[in-house]
Amino acid sequence: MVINNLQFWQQFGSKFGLPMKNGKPVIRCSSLDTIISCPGSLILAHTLGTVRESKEDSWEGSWCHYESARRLVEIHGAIPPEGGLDRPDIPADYLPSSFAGWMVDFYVAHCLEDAGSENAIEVECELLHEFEFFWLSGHSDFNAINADCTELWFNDLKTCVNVVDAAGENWQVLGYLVLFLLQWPTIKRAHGRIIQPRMKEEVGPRVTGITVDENGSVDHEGEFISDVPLHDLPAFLEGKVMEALSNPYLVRSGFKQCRWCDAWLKCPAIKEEIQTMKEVLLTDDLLTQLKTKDNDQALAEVIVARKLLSSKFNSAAELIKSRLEVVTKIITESGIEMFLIDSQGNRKINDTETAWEILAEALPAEYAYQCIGVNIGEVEGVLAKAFKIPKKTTKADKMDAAKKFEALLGPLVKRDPTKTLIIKGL
Amino acid sequence: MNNPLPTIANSRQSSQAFYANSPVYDKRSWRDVFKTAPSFSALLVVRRRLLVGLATGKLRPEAKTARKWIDAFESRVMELAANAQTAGELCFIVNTSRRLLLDDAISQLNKIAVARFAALPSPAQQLRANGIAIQGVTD
Repeated sequence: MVINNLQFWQQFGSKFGLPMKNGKPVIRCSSLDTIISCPGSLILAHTLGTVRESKEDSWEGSWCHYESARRLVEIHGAIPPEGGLDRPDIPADYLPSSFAGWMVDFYVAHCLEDAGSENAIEVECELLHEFEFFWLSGHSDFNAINADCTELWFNDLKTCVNVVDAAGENWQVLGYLVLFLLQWPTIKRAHGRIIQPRMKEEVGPRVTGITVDENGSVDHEGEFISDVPLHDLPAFLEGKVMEALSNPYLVRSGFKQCRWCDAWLKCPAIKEEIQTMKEVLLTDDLLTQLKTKDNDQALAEVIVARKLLSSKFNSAAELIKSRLEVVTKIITESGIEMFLIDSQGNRKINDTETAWEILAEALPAEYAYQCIGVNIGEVEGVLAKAFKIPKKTTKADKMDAAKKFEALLGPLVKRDPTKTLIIKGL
Repeated sequence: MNNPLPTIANSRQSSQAFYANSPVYDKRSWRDVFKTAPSFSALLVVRRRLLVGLATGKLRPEAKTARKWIDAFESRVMELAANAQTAGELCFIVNTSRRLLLDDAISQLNKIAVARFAALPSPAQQLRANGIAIQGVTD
């Protein structure tokens, strides 16, 4: 049953502190995938606290978005957002990798393919529309519109590692499409694309797309996806969002929605998932069963659970370290203790230029060039080959690659002090 | 505004044709092209072509010429806003132009838009007239 009572939403929103506008919840296009699959994540994220990726992880993505928008505005005449482009919140001395530069090149080239010289282009465009019981907002990276305002192209840049849903099955893309359509009702055909330059070609296409007109939608491979005509999409999306919002207390874990969810730390469905995984992993019977009965289904479930939860566990480990900086020790209900100890970080070469000069002198050219990355592990491997010595030996009087490395580059190596998480009583 | 504009339907049909004939870094007057752009989206396309010409160094205007382009662009935006046929079109012009015009021109555009808006059917009425029923868009 759909809850179509505005008063309910006003009370609901104020009770859970949701982002509201004129008494209606504001839904962002980027959260549509999560909310439609797991409506309860909306209130969990705002009531139980959220966990964000560390700032450093987001620098590269922010830089790529900014740099591509800047290039499109300054070189290709794109319309910037109101007040100009906002510089992202990254340190002024942040140096993007050459791969990040390549991602920008790849993305901008695809945008220009869409825009040609015959369309007006806009970057970082804020979109907002008021539906009967909610607002839908979105932030489009790039859009191009033709001279008679009847055909639209828009692209969304994804710099993440995880594979994003193809445009044809991506609610975020549908959200943007609907917002554009409501802003410019003259559009007769729209093309939406997700551009994920980091995607390895053997995993999937770097560019996926959807084209919608009055006959329905086709994907980037020309496959027919849906017969919903372009101008029926707003009502279609509104219906889906209302269906989800009408079950506001339902949490449903899953690979797709949990990946981007901010509420995972305290989500009961995730806890249940963890519980299930423990049972699956720790029961000897089940392990035996997996081995002996050739149970592909159960084995697949383990892999899904591991894939679903691994990034969450990594983030949790980082999070608990920051908590332990404050409280020094945490003891679980079952008596397991966690605390930090001071330790030495990984070895780093301080001055790669000098290191390279030393290596170039000490090694024959064919070996020296294998060390050009000045990566400690690689250099040790090359030293072992070049001097025909073992990589590591326990005999103090025998030369190995580690000792050779120390003799050549020891003074240039440093280890930053770090903290290691100790778990006692497990 | 003494500027007979084509109807919105005609302007859309003619925008592509107009754009196809707009200058590509030649010696034709950009000022005239701005002045005759049949629709706001066509105007944006021409503006982009001009900017790309400047960014790539294919166009090197004197300060006086550049000022004339800006004036021609601004005054065409005002004319198109004053003659907008739908509230949606007017919103498109105002929302986009706010990012392209200087403060004085924005205030002038706002005044024109307020006057024009009062004379136009609401977005909801317009959408219904086009056969688009959207739940939640109210008068």
